[in-house]
Amino acid sequence: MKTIGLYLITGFLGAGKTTLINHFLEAHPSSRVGVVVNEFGQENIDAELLRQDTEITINEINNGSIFCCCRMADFQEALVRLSSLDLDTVIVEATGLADPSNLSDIFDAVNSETGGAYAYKGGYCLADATHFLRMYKALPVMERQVACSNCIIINKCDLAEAETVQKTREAIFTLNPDALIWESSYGRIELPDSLYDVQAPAPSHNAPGSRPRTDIIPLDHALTWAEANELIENIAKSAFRAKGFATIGGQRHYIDIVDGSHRMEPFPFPGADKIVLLMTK
Amino acid sequence: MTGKERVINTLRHEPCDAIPWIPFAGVHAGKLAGYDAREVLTDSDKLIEALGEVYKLYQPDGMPVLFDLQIEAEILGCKLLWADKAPASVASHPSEDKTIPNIIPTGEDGRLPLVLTALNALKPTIGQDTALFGLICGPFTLASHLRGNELFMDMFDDPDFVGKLMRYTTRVVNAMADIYIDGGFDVIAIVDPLVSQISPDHFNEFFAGSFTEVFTHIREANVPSAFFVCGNATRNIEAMCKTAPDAIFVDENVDMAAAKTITDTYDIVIGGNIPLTSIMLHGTQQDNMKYVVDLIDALGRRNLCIAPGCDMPYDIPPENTIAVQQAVRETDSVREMIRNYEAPSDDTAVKIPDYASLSKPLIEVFTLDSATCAACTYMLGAAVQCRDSFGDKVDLTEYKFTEKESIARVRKMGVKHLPSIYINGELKFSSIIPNHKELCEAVEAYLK
Repeated sequence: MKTIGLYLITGFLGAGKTTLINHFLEAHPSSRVGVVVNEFGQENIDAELLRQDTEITINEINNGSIFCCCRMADFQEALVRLSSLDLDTVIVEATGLADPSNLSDIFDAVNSETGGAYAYKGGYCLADATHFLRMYKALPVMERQVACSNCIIINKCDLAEAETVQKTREAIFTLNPDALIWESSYGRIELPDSLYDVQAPAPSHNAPGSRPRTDIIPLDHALTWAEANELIENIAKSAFRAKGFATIGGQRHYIDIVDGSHRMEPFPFPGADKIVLLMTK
Repeated sequence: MTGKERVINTLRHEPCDAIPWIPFAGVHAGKLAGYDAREVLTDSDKLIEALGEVYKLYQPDGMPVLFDLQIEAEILGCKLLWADKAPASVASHPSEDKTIPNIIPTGEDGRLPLVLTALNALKPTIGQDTALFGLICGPFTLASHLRGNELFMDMFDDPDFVGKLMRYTTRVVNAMADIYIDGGFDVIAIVDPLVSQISPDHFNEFFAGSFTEVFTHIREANVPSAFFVCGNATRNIEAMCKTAPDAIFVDENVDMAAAKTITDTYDIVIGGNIPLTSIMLHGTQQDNMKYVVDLIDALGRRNLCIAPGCDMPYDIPPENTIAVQQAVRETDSVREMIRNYEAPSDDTAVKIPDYASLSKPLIEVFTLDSATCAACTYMLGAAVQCRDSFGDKVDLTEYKFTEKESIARVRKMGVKHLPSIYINGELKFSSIIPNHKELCEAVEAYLK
């Protein structure tokens, strides 16, 4: 049975959700797409993208978050309705204040009703580099949006100080060490194709037994370059994906290991050194 | 004890004979009377008729007259976007440019005449034994209606403006409370969904003062008050308690048992929190009954009201709400019903009549319990009245879900909803009670 790819886009107001959707539509011009829009935004889906060979069906749900008990039934109904159309993809743009913690219940209910119409492609959270740090502690929903996502896009990096961007990255990493983090600037959120397929597991209840297993390697001392290289080599043998921080050669570094290759960059801000193994072999 | 007394006594911590049941039938009331959301929120005659259906079917101890958080916003200049099955949503924000309106509502403004007309019609009838709740949009959510989501940025960028805006919305809410108290509402509920969106520190910094002022204002008028919140407000429950409402109503996102340990500390009643979608809308009657029985068993009987988690979705099957009501009223009996329903059963002893060979049409009324469930009483009453008009030409029997054999029969026949009327084994009426003419016409069709 053909399934419809389901994407969930969250993020506080103005963080760039609609921009991301517009980019997706631009990058996939022949895709048949349904969009569930959960808020009045000042920006709308770019009408120029409604080309002859692009079919977009838009459902609006207003007056409350689609995850809130008051509108959840409307959201489920919209997904069931869209499942009967010949679509490749459904994108859900949640309201800025949406708490997607109960997505698993909704996903299960919809797939139960539709015989498994949807395959979850991933949750994408937009974080505005200019104000994420000062707002997320005041608005618990922003933490939950990050925690429930597979890919976090730190947007507007050109408008924020480099230190702010780095600290935003670290805050996001603390909230969700499993997520991929992408940075974008100048209003262009151009994710590579691979990031539109983060191979997200179906949304699961946030119970310890159901979360992907992670292991943490605490680093309580600085490493020499030789020690760091050995560590990275050993990690690469046991994990498809790992990331974290280490002090090497007297300087703190951010390390990102993906399927045998790694990326390292200076990270000149204090914090706890550790490597988190995200997907072990 | 009347339902009204039950509600007031519970909120005042005075002796009470039972847990109050308060269905939040806003737009859902329209469904019961055949009206869409906009009709029931804008037409007083239709609203009154719809609320009569709520009273008849659900036998509430308390009920809102109107569940619409946009009434105040509309008066203050917000444009609304209407929907068929949901309240309107705010589509514009007059304080987008940080202008604060100077309107203070009176009973003549906006849709307030509609609310007060309905209240006046209901007070001498339903209002004699049912507590009528006047719902007011809380000052924080009202501020966001005026300012839009920029309000959250203002908390960081311009806290003085937030203070000014909140002082204005607090005045508006107090004015609304005065209108509703003078009108004769029994309970004033302040409904503020956005409270669940912010941290306790920010609630205390920007909003706690407003809510405290509002609840003090209502208390000085000697009227009970309630604080309704939507969403995961768990971390703010204690801060809400400190604003001193008489009750706090929460939805399914809050662990009510955990929250009650806090509200009990402040001797505040807690209400809720039947899930609207998974249980009330999509669940079976048994699911609804079980949820309520489990909730009551977990929470005890003191300082508690049973209610849906929020404004009931339009399309909730009436039979589910009937089941909830039965579970609140007859908890022990319903606990037994569920036990019997869930137990493996042998239905071989259940004999389904050979309907085609019957000499007379057979009316079978399936009920939860016609002795205690009001909707069931009406359904059976309608069937009895119809049978009597046909004399001995028609047979009638009732099967009560309190009886094990009837549970087995319900299963064997595939009866989905209670109460319902079958004629010669065919479902004819479910939950909504037919009038005499409708039912007799249905029976006539089976007379040879």
